[in-house]
Amino acid sequence: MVRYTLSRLLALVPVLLGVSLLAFLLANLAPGDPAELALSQGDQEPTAAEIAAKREELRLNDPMPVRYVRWLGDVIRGDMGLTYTDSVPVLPELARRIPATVKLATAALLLALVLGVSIGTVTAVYRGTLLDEAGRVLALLCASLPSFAVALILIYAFAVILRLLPVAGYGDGDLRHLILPAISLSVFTMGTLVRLTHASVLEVMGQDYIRTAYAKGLNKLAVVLKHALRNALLPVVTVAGTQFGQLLGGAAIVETIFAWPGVGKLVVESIYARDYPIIQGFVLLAGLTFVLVNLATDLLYAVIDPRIRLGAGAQGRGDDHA
Amino acid sequence: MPSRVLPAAPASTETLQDEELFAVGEHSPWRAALRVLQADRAALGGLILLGLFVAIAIAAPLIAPYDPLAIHLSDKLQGPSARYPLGTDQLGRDLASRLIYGTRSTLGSAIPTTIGLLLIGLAIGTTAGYLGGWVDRVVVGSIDVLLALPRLILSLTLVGFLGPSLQSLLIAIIAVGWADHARIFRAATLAAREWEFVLAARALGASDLRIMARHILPNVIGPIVVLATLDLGHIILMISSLSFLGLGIQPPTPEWGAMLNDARTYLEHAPHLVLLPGLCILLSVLACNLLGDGLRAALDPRSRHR
Repeated sequence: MVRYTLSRLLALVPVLLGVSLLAFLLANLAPGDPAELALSQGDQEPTAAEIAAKREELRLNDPMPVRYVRWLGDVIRGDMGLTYTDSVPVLPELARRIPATVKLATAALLLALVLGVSIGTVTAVYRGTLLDEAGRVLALLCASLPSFAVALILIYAFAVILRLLPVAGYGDGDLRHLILPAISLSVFTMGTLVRLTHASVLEVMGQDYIRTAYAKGLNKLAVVLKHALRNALLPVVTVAGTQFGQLLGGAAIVETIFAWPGVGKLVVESIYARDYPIIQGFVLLAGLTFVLVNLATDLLYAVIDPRIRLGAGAQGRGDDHA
Repeated sequence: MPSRVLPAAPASTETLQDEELFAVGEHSPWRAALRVLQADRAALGGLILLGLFVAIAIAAPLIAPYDPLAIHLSDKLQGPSARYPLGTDQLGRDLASRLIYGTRSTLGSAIPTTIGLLLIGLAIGTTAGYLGGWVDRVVVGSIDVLLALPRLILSLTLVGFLGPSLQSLLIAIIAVGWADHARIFRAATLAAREWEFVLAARALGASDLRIMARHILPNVIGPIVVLATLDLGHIILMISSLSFLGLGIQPPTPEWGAMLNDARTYLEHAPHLVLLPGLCILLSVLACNLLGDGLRAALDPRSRHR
């Protein structure tokens, strides 16, 4: 297990380097001179001398590779530069917003997991019935509705008409503010998990050991809960991990609608303001989070399923053919 | 294969199904498609719905009652009436006309993007798979980096760096999306190289190009159509999401996502301004998903045994 963990950790290094290179290149190849952008926030037009001085200050005149290595060194030490709009350090600015986004994404993922797995399992067990059809339609709708449309419909129903829940805002951590954003964000993921669980349970239910369990005289509930679900949920674990990353992306939209003070809203605002350092910091942070969450799910998977760490752990992933 | 960061797909995730589709080399995908449309009413419904949207997009100038940009301030925020079949928006523009032209801007950008994405993915994926060596390693490395970031986040940041516009949005979608396709086509090419009839063709002295065009392509065209259909749905969602945020198609051009954003403020008094564009997005994406799922099921060897 240690060996497997180490080999997986080592494999992250080139990917993270790639992500950092991407973030660096994007900010430096994007239209507009960073020095000029940094100075021209607000109304006044910077003079040529000011721009030249700023270029010197930001050391933009060095060759690209030199700047990349220096920038990477800064980033590793936790220095992602200053924002253009307020000239405050980027990392604390992002870090301040992270808890709200993690709270939202976690709530959405839990909601999607609980509903997705139960609906997927029930529709698989009652395959071919009306329940199964309803589940299929629900999953299709979830995959076809954008989160912002769900959000606006929910706001209309629960905040405008019924006046049960707040329209927007963080509400100092009041959980009632979390309900609508979390549902809006979870819908797409829930649809994915319904389909995945459904397919996975169906596949497992066809296995010999399920027939054995029935032959032992176990009732359907015991077979499904004790024998089928344990194995059927393995792929769900993996996909739930990747979905967490997707949720962080989707959070940008949902946070903007609900005025939720998270990273996603900050990034959308920074895009309007062309505040490149924040966008750049966000790419790095998102890449790091996504990669670590995937690693965590892989390791969790290996803990659950010994075939992975014993069979292929030593020489990387044997079942990897992508 | 070097170890990858993304978890390998277990047997029943969709990713693996995508690749398994390509392993079927024997039967005609077109006949299969025809069969599924006869048997699967949902898929047929999807095809008809999608056809309807395409027809609306093409015939927009003929069927729209008004110029979608024409402002009638005295008639603003009206409900449906004989004069305005679906009512008017906050500037008194005819909602029906805006929805009809919205179909045009959405499909008009989504369909070319889907095709472009497929062609680029196909070119890069097959080249990498066929040539191998350092080309393959560079491509696989880039794919790993791109797939290490969520699609929406990457497109969002790309648009951020390029500056919000339709052009930036389409560039962003293609620049981010090709990795997924290239990965699938690369795997398919690697598999196709081992097919017996490809080996046989090679033994007969056929050139690489001929093998690709005559033997491999016809056998992967079905899965490509499935991918394209499902992708069209994703891209419609992506375009409307980013336009909703003001980062894609810019007002006053009618686009469903942007229209929803405009309508947010008037949610309380004119909910139809939100519901109808939302319904258009839902139906168009649903059409793609229904059709794509049906076709995928027809091509998936495992689903036929059920």
